[in-house]
Amino acid sequence: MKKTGLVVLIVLLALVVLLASGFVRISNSIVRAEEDVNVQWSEVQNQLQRRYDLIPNLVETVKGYAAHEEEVFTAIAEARAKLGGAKTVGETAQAVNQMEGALSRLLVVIENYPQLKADAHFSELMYELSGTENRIAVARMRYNEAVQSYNVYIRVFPNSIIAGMKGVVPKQMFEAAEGAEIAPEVKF
Amino acid sequence: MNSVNHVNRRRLLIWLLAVAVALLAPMAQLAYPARAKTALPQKPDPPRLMSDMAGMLGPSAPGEIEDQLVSFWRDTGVQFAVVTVPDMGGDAIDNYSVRLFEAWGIGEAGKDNGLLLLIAAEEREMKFETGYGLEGELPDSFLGRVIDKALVPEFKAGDPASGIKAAVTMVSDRLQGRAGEGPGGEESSEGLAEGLAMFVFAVIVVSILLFAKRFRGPGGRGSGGGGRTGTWRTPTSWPKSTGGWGGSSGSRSGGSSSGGFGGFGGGRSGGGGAKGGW
Repeated sequence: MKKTGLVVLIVLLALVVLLASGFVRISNSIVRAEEDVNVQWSEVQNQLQRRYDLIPNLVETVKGYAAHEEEVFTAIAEARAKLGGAKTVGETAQAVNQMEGALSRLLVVIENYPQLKADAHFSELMYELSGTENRIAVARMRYNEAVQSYNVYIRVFPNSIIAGMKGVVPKQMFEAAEGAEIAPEVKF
Repeated sequence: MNSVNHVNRRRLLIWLLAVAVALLAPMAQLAYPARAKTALPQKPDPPRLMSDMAGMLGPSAPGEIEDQLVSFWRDTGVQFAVVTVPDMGGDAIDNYSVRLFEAWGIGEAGKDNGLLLLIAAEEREMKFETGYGLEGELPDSFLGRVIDKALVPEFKAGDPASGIKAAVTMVSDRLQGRAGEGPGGEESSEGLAEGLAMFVFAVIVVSILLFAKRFRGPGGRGSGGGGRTGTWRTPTSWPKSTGGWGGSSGSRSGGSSSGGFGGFGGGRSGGGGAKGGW
């Protein structure tokens, strides 16, 4: 009987270790997935900052040729101020959408000024701007993918139990659509 | 004794369930939804920097450009891939180039010193895609100038090979500062460290529980005391013999000393670069 007790004990211990390792693995994966989301978000902010810094330059150059297009310049300045004050993912997304609307109006205005389009400095700025737009799109896509992976990971069983114990909650997607409600895509 | 056994059996059942849950957990990762994408061309095997998949550069030019790119790579470590594709299957060039860059892993992991020049024959579009590590030295405006000055005029004149050669020259002149760096890099072994930590943790838990049991009551006292001490002692000496787990495991993408390009190393890009058409 003593020997049986020992065997049972050892089996139980092995199971405890297995369970603990499973717990640690899931817990670490959640941390890693969350960190991935954070990294991707800071990349989004990096690229938004890059555009934010580029815009005054661009506006100055355009003003040199099209000084009387006040309306567009005001819209850009407003959107830029809003972006500068944005704190949450939702606010940022809204400000970015407003900024993109204003920028596309600027691009329409530019079409009417062939001399501006021939300006060497302007064409460099346009390359920088379009490269930055593309970087933002990529950063945004990767952020959303990271959020989606994270949100799925913490909601599937049994990860959801550990996520509940750790108190982690789903993250917000960066929605591109104009004026769209900002909400996580994965639903309960 | 009977009631003790009964309790044990119930506990055992609970633990078994818990373990099953823990073991099934990794399967959750398979549940990630995959995005629908158009197919990408396979990574060239054996590895090459110049891939003329559209067949638009003639018979001899691809080899000449490959030599140019390989010597640039040997000199600076920069993996400059030039790829022509017949078409992009309806995808936009911005998107296609990011995906191709990521799928092939152009540049070395960690350094991200890759550069891709993608040319789509049917769409008559071209795009430079810059690895993260080259964004400082190759700003979008510079790559835009390469497109405007070197590539587009020659493509319009029907001599794409000359345009690509001129573009490679412009880029390698710009990156002279990297001359002598050469290929190579370090990689960490994070997975091993975690495995080791797990093992040490398991040993400690088992040991503590065994000792606790030993001193708690008469249950397991009589038999095999020496043997248990043995299992406690062995692991403490174990890490010594396998020192250096956390260190770097040397270079992987160093390439061979002879012949051509050694292979892409898992570099990443973030959508930077410039595009144009002809």
